[in-house]
Amino acid sequence: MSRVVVEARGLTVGWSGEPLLEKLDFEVASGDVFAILGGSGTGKSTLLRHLIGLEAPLGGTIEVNGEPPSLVGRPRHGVLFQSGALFGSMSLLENVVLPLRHWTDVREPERREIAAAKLRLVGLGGFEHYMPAEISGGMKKRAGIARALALDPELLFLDEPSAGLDPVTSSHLDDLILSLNQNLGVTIVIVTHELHSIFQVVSRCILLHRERRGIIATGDPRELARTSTDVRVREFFRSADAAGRHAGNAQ
Amino acid sequence: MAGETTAHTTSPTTERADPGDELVAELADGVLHLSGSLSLAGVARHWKRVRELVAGSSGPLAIDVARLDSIQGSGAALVVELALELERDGRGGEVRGATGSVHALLGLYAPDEAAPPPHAHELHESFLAQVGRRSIGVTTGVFEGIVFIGELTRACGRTILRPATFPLREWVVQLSRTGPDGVAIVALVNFLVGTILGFQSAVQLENYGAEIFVANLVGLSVVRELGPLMTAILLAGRSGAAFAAELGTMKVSEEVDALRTLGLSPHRFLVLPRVAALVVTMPLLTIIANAMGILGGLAIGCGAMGITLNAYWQQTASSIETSDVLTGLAKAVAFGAIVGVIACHRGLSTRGGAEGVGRSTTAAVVTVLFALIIADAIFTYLFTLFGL
Ligand SMILES: Nc1ncnc2c1ncn2[C@@H]1O[C@H](COP(=O)(O)OP(=O)(O)O)[C@@H](O)[C@H]1O
Ligand SMILES: [Mg+2]
Repeated sequence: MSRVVVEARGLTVGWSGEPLLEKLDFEVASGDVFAILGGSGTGKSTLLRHLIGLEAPLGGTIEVNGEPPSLVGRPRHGVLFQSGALFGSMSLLENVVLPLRHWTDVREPERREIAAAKLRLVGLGGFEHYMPAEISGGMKKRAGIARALALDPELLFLDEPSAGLDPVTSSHLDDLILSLNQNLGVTIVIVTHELHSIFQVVSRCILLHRERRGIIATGDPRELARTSTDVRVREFFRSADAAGRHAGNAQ
Repeated sequence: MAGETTAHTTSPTTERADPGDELVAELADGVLHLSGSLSLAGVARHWKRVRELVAGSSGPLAIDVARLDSIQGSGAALVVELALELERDGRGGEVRGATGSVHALLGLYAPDEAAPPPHAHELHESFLAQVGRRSIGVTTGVFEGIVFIGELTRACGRTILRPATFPLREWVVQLSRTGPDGVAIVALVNFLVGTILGFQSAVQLENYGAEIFVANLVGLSVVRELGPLMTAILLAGRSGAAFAAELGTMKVSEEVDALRTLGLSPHRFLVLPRVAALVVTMPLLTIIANAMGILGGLAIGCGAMGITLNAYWQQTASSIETSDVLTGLAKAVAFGAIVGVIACHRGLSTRGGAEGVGRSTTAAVVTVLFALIIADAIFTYLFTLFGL
């Protein structure tokens, strides 16, 4: 009964006419935490850029809420870029206030309250007046999430939200994602490497493969990790596991 | 606390007004009852009244949310904030009747105990300047240029139709960066240009005993040609390079993309204020440039050639007509637009990483200089054609 929120049909994406991923078919249902998995450089971020309408597909179609993705008008979804992409000349608070200022009639004092609360939500209470250049990479990501949440979207696109975070912060972030999903019904499309997050929060995933230029597995990641007979799928979950533990130890 | 106040304002004044966005607040017996919808739109229209209700009351106050039909994150944030404030003021601020998703959301926004302490902190401009851009083919370059001009024109049009959307703050920031900071260098360079012109012409005119015409030559050359052109060249080096580097950095760090995903056009929010700033500062700086150039010629004429101050001034004043000054200033406006548009376009078409920013900065300055010379030639031709 759940509605399809994002739908890709025969989707081919790439750069300057060169396909990276070909003929992708998948759909994200309302209420999903949907993961785009795959090795580094497979084109996960590229796919995400197409889903949010920043790039035009080389072939096939994308529909978000039944329409091709558009950048015109009030955004209906929030986006976290892999780099955070905060506005460098504005404080964290102003970064979050900006969309509220342009797309709502909320008055300035309330805008600031809302923005401060969103920053608190991602664990950045007290950092409202810091400039992006003055905070760590992980904090930038969290501030980016706060900005993505500014307009209370029903759909969130997150590019590697927990990469580069320490394990404690990373699991807080997983909790936040789960909570947004379960309590608010926010649909979440997430690019991630973190096996912990994958098993903790993800309900469905697609696994992309560079040589195949496409999807090699679809489904519940726990199921896939346990039952898949595809050696490439097993390989991915094993190496992601190792990488995750390695990153964990390094902190 | 016997009085009962109702803050039900039914004024669907905004575009986004929607019957589902009504928020009703009632204050009775020390309890603030919220019912209806606590969405962003509801908050936008009614929260001010809620605040006034609370401010106009005294004594302990609880917040009852049992009758809320729907709630969004921002609404929850404001309720939590209000509750905290009441608690701080010793007025209780207990939130009652929360169930289901309202309860979950309020819980989500309730502050953690271990929030890091806020630091007193100065805001300041961060100004990154880095490097690079992949060179693009001439044809795609021209095509992209046309698209860029089209986008910018659209942004201008929208701003003219709805002036309130003009990014005023950004414009003011850019005005102060491109204007006052450039005064010293513009004044100095144009003074020197005036002395060079004065000296060169004096050497020649002396042969004919026509030293006094130094004033004509310097005055007209400066006001019609060199004032606007030198100023534009200096601005290309200062502001043009800065624009390209700034926008290039924003492009490679995905800030431009982030802006677009927020539904905000980079042309309107980044390019327009910058071009508009140069269009204003260029003629102003050119006026200073003209004055300093004439002063440079005067320094030579009076200092080295023995012309009296009064004679030099009379000669200058009689040789320069209003139309000379105005054509010069018209050029200055056009040059300002050229510097701004080309520099911003180069910045926004930056590709690659940090070294790409350097490449587009260089490309911006070179392209601007080239375009300025061409434009100046065209202007001179046109002005001659129309006898200006
Ligand atoms: N802006 C761009 N222009 C051209 N090629 C790009 C661009 N961004 C990424 N690519 C290329 O696309 C490929 C996939 O990159 P990306 O989508 O970032 O991978 P992932 O996110 O899976 O690590 C890489 O080979 C990269 O070189
Ligand atoms: Mg990526």
